[in-house]
Amino acid sequence: MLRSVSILALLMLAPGWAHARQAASISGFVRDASTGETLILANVVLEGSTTGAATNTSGYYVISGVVPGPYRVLASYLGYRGFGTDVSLVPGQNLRLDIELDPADLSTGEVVVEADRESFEEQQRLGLTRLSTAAIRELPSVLEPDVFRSLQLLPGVKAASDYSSGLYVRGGSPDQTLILLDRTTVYNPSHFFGFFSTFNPDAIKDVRLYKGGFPAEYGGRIGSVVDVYNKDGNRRETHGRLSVGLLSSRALVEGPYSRGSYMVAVRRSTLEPLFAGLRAADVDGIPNGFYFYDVNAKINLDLGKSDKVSISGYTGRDALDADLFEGFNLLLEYGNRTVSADWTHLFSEKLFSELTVTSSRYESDADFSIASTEVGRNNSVDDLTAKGDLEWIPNDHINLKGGFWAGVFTMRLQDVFDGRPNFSSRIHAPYGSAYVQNTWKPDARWTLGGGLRASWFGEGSHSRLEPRASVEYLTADGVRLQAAYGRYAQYLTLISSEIFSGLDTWLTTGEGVSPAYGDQWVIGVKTVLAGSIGLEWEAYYRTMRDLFQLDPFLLDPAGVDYEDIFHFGNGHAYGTEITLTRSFGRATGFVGYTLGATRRRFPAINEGAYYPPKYDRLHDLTAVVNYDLSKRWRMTTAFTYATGQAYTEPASQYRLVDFPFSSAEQPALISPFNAARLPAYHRLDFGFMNRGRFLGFADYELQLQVINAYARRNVWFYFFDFDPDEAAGQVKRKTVPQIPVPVPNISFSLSF
Amino acid sequence: MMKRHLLLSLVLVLTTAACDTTQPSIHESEPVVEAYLVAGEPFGQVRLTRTADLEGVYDIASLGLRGATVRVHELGPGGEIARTIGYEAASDTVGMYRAVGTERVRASTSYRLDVRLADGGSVTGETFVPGAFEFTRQSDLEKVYQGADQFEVNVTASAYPGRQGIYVVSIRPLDPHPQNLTPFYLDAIYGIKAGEAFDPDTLDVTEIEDLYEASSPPVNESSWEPEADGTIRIRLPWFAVAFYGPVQVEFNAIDDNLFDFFRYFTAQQGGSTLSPGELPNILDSLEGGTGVFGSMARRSISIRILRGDG
Repeated sequence: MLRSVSILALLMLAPGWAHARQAASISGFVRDASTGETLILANVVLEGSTTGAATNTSGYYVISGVVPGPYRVLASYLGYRGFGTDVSLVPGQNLRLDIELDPADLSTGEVVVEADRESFEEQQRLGLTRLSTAAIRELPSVLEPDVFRSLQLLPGVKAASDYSSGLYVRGGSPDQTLILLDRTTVYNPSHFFGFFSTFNPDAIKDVRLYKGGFPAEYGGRIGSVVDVYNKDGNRRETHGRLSVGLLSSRALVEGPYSRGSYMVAVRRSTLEPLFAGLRAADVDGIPNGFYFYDVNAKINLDLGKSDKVSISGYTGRDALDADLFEGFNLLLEYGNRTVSADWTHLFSEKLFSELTVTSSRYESDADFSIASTEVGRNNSVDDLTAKGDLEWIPNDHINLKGGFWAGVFTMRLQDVFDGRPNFSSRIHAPYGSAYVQNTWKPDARWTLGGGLRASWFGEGSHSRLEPRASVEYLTADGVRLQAAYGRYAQYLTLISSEIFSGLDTWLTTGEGVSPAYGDQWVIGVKTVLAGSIGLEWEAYYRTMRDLFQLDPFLLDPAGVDYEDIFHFGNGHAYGTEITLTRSFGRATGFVGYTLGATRRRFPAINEGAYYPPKYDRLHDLTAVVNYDLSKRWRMTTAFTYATGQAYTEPASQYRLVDFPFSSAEQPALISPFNAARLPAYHRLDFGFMNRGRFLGFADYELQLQVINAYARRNVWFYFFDFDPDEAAGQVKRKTVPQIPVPVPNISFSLSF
Repeated sequence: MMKRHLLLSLVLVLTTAACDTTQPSIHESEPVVEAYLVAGEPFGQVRLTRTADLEGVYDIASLGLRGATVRVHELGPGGEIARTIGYEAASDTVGMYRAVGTERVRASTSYRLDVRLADGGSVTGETFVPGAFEFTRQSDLEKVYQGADQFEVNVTASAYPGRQGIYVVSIRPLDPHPQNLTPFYLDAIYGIKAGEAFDPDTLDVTEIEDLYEASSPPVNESSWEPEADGTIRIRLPWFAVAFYGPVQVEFNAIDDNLFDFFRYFTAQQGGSTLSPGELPNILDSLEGGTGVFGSMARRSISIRILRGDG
């Protein structure tokens, strides 16, 4: 460990800033010309050279160490027309050049070819995928466009089932992915008990997924990062959007004001009339009430050319009230609230800073009343944090970044049985981390990155060092060869269910409970092939050590020592991913293939031997194609094929017939754990989108979609029925299907 | 040129990719033990069977093991054999072995099961019988269903080495007829709402057989209310009451073997954080076979549940 830290220190302190004192620089923000939204990871280069930079998460870029003289500055971003302007730099000049890019018209895709090629190449960082909100809205979806379900189509990302929006990234479970909304951690990013993610696609500006090998500025999870940013709001004109769908309706308003911009987006389920009708028709099992809603809001305040403040918030809630039987009532509510205040400040054109204060609250409250017996669980997480980042770009060789992340994590959990609390736990833990990372470009071909993150968690007083390193070599014919290594630590674990996310509960390290940690090694090759097809290939191997999860065999935690409510294990995952992408022209989309495996080992499962968790899939193929049929009609199809998930196929049985606690016999199964595979999964979704003017005052989008077009009955899981009614005591294997029938979806949106 | 090599390499990687590995589920028959010792009660019976293929018909009569030699050894503090209880095959049930004599099980004592099978195999296992416990006081023995007061009983704690006491509360109705079902169970089993008229003679009584004895999951001693005198107060939740009328309530302190069976059996039934379709094998402490050799300390009391309308 010390050796690797030393190497990283050398990388971070590498020579480079003893550059020509009289060099000039160009810096500024890159924005969408129509809305004024800053663009993340936009590419700015000097024509005819390899000198350039990509914008950071605030849309800011710096090109330093430029030899004085005349240049043509080019800027590009996927989906936007290229930008070019001539500048002349004198010695020592720091040119502020704010750039605005015009969105490209779909029908004139070829206009943006060259710019997009450059943009495409710049954004190909190892392990990073960016997803546009337009793509999210256009992909066929079950009832509702969804950020996480769109991410599930990407290579290396798997879904547990058609019913779950949980992200299983490169062999990791959902709690190994850090979910950030405007730099604020979101602890239960789900609606509808896991069916959808919480993120309203209308309100989202940018979604980036770091599948692995992420840099030192991120931490807290051993797997991956989903970094979501709310829209800043239109800085040019007031704009609105209304959408009506089968499950929910959405409204957005955004616009400028004297000192900046604002955005408010609201989404609410609209199922109540349907439920009322079904109840009136005496249909069993219809809840008394169910709804979910979320509100995203953001306001930006420009304090000058060098200072910008934004405050953003999110609140969302799901609520269910159901009478299951006579005297059996369920009341369940859960939701998240986040607030973040962010201040970006330019100390100089080469020194950028960002300070963020965040508050995140997640709460779930489940109350069952069963024949007057009150049973419940109340769980909450409060996370108050402060984050600061400094980015220094002294010249075109060095990008040095450092920062901290400190906060207080409070978790409360109380179980109630028969009206009396029978278990409660409160964890109130300060935590903190600090990082430094450097990107060093010794020449036009090589890019070396190094970083170190130190983290500490108060509960149990655990600390870890997390080194990160990366290297990239750009060949003469434009092929990027990349490699990265990182160590990651995680102080939290999630109690969740693949079936139902409404009772998700977070637990932390503590006395006798060490943080989980893992190493990731990633290599990749990226280039643009003939026909402007982007090719990405990545291979990864990652370890998961000291995993701590709630003991699945724990029946009652009352009076149990904290460390004894967990079981501890290890795991690993490896795989390779190939993606072919076409981002412009009439036909766009991608084909992604993943060959991957993941294994776990816990002492009490599978006799302590490695086993594949349910979501393990060896092969995973996804093809997404968008085709512009005309200027107004666009077709989107998504096809997925994957190896069947692991499951346990019992081989033998015995039955306890004298069991002293039940009049029913107790059937027990004996099986090799998760050694069998469900049938292969495949599904075709398609949709059509029609766009045009609506009564002369608004643009409309009409979407008609079908999920599972050919009615594939994919298997979710099997269960084994010992029902004595079965003939002659036989055990019947019964299938619980995934979405078994074609599901239509229709939505209509107006933008004005 | 490099791009061409790159493509060729990728194609090579994919074409040489490994296929998925699966392990067939093959039935291998092994002996099954089912035996329970209850503190203060006579040594009961040991049932010996074999595991069965999942595909076939499960007929326990045909799975019984004949010709076995069955003994239970009581162990002293140092693990030495203090006494041995012999068993003999029951003439009425193949695979059933009943204890010889009327000796009783001692609480807070270890026992070793020693089974020698006719085919030369053996099955062994041990249990530690939980400490005996007593009722110290209880509330009225007649309670109005869902009335203001629930049935409560105070018990002394059952001692068990290395952990707190773990209890299972069982309810055995003494007059289990459909017309005596409480509203929740009447709806859950027969779909009849409270106040809805029905003819009990038309109901299938086999539907309620599972309620002839129903139990709570294992509950830790800490889940109950501690009293100043060191006893714990156990309150009978209303949802556990399936029938009006006379009911026998049993409080059982269970050993580790029964606790493990409950834990893993619950997970097999889907009651855990494992994903659906993931079925762990049940943990047992038996050598040479599987099943349960468990023990418990038990106290019971009879109460009467009255209808709310009197």
